[in-house]
Amino acid sequence: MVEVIDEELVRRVQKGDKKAFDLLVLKYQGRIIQLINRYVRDAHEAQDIAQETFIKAYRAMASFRGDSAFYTWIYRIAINTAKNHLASRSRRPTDDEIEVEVAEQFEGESSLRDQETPEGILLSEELGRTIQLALDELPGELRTAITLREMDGLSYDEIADVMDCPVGTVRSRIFRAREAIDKKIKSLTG
Amino acid sequence: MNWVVLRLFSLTFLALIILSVAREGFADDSESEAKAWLQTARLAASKLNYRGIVSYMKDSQIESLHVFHGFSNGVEQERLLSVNTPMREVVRTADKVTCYYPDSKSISIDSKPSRQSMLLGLPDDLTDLSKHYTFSLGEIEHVARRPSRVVSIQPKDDLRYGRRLWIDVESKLPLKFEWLDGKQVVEQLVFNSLSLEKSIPPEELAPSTQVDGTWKTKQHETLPAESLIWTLDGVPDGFHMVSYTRLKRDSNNRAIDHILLSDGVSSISIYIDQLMGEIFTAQPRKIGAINSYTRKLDKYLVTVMGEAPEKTVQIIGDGIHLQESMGK
Amino acid sequence: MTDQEKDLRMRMSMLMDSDFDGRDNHRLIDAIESDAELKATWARYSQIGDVIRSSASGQMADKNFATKVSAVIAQEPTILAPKKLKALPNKRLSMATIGLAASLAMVAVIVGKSVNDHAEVFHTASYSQTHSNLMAAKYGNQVENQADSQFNDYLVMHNETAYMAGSAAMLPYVRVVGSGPGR
Repeated sequence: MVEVIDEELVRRVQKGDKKAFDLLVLKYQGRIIQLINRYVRDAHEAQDIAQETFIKAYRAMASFRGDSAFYTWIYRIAINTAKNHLASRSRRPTDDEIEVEVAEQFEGESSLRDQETPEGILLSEELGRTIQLALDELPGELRTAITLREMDGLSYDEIADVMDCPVGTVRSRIFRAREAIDKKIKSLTG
Repeated sequence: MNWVVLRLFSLTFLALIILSVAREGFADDSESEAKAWLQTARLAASKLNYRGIVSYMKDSQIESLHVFHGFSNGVEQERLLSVNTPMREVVRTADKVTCYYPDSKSISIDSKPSRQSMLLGLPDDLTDLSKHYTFSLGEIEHVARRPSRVVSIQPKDDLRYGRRLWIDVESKLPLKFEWLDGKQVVEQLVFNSLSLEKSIPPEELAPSTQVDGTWKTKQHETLPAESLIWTLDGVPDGFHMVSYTRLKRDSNNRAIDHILLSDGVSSISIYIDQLMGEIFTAQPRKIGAINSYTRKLDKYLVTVMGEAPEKTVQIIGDGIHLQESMGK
Repeated sequence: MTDQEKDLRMRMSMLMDSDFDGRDNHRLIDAIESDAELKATWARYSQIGDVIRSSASGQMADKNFATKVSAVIAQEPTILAPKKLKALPNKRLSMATIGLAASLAMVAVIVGKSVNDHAEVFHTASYSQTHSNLMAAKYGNQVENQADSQFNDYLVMHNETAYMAGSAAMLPYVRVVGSGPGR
């Protein structure tokens, strides 16, 4: 499904609105980290690579033409960045070219590592569990609606077809599902 | 002298100080106060009725200008008139600004003018400027025998110029102004005489230049940012695009693209013109506070000019590229 | 929660799913970008989606992840490369109005490199003078007159429009009035 909202946010970034990029980061941070996790097990390293991915994506925004969906594009950047990290680990230190490349990739971002604490990641795990629990406690039709949207990526019209209800009902169910879960996690993310 | 209006200003001024200090916190007193002075000065410049003579100094030359400003029934009108040949004139009314050039017998009209007063051009919101500029309050000095408060706007990097204003304590009008390149004054404006009036007669606010059928009106068209075929790859942080205009010149309507940038305090123009033959000069120029830089870009001639150091206009000029894919 | 807040959150929920109802979504995006509470809600709604999608071993983003990325990006130059991507549907305002207002209000220009990188390419006065002397020798006065006239035109235009840019100046038009040719 075409994510028109992504295109709009990209358009804003290309006109100088950095805050629009923040919204893209918030939307895709989870997916990108989970993707990188497939290549890199270490939590710290995965976060570092994810950060690098987003920064690379930002820098390349001027040349993003919209030929592919934003997510597909950043997906590719994430995979390439993760692979480069794996490759740099296995090369011999005497290979100057690679050292420079690796150094360039990390330049300026090393300070980010210092701020990370294990506590930040543990909190995320608790957050994950709370969301899952809240999801399980939702009334059936709310859970179905939000799962069809988030897991299967169906549009509201498609969900309305599947659940045999008006689009307005789909909107309302998804919103109520989000609100019910949000109530439970708000205190954790503050 | 309009005492009621002045009283109103004192109250507004006090309110602005309280508001700005409350908003920014007591740790930043001088900065908030300086901004409050500037905002009140802008209000004063807009709402009072006055006339005066101003000296404008740059590159060791001095010119004199008449200034007339009226505010009645919620409408602002102003007129600037040079007393030296070629006696150019600028008149601003609610819906347009007209510039008269007797030297070239031409008129330029801007029909969507900024609502800012011509006396003090500052953005409405000064908070964003703190990223690149420091605002501070100085001592009381005398200008035209009137006690005035000094307000400084200093850049935080060497890519921008600084400003200094002297604001009349009583009326809150700006009386003196300097552009600074570091410590050096590159341009200066000062009121030699100023009188505040209850009102200014309409004939003093109307243009005095006689225009006839031989005069030309300059043509230009505003364009949407999306039609920009240029990428600007060398502009310092804080600058944003204010307008993108296509100028039409000569009998064959030669098109010149004009991109206007600003960081809220300084403005920089980029002109992209056709390269006519091989003849061009790349010499950087300096006129008062304006530095300019020209370079050839493919079949175009790019000129960058503005109230910024030489280094800045060159960096911007060198960073202009033609977009690879247009209108995709 | 007021009805208005609830309505905003509902619209944000729809916006996230690219479900547009023809209302002023540009303003909604502006609001989300600038309101901390709305932005935090956008973040939490996204996290809900992440958990639904995650596999059993799925790692989640560190809670400060987005803030850290944002801080690095704040130091980056801004991008100006407006392209004609598909625009947001909006029935209220005409597209031309949005295009112009949004472009000019938000557009910023950025540098791909650190500004310091340019230090070494700065031409010295002697270089400029030599170049200019060569040009003058080759083309004589013709160069200067044509260039001068062009330059003066630019100067006038700049001074006319500079005040629009909020150029902090006293009497921004004074240069228009006070600068004659040959000065």
